[in-house]
Amino acid sequence: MSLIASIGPFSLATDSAKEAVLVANTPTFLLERLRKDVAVQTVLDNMTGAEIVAALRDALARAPRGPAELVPAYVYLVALSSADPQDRELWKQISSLDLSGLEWGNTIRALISAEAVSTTALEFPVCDKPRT
Amino acid sequence: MEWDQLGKTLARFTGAERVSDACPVYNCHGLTFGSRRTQVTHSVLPILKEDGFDPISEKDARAGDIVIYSNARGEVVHSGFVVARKSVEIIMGTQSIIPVIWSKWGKSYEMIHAVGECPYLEEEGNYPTYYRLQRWKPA
Repeated sequence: MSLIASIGPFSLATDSAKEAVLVANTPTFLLERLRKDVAVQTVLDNMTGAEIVAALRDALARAPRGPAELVPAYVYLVALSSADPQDRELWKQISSLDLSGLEWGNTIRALISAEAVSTTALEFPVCDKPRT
Repeated sequence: MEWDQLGKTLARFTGAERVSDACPVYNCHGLTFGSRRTQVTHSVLPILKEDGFDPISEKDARAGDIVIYSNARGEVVHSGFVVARKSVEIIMGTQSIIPVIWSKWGKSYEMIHAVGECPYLEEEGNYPTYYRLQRWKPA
């Protein structure tokens, strides 16, 4: 059994994650609540970024039969907010996801993409002699 | 879709009264500002400003005023109407009078609840602000 199957999408629909999806009035609230949820932590502890993208793509490929089936997809998407900002290939995959099946999918992706601006290291020469 | 099936944990808000079925058509701001006709997901602060709402203190809040719940960064996460005030025991017999709110919890139910008895003040740093339309004064 693969690791992805062992944590499976249905076990990610925790009661707290379900509640977050149910009571969220805004994408920002949903993003913040799920970020702290044990379901997102479980995904981050057990899956690589590429595996999360693949699982999200798989979850989005099926038409949801009920709101509970939307929950794992939001969990995977929010887990991607922890993706390494320097990993261009992964962010390219995240950008290419068709999130039209998630009401707030595109907005949440825009939020996490905006946060993932990579920091730039700047080097400054040190002048050890005071200028006169 | 049966949104009811996601609401098991809401039972922890024992003092909150459910007053509608779950409905994904409108959210909290859709109830507060949109007559239950739509979801409003953008910031509602411009609506308050343009319609002429003024902030008021919690002790002055009364039925008909609006409450806005914000997170620590000042982003709005919830809204509702003040419908009453009630006396509650804070600690060891100490009483406090707090606003009672009618609001819509996301895609779930319209609820009547004490201002703090909802999912929107559970995050550290979240806070309520009250507004009143003193007179109609659109910008």
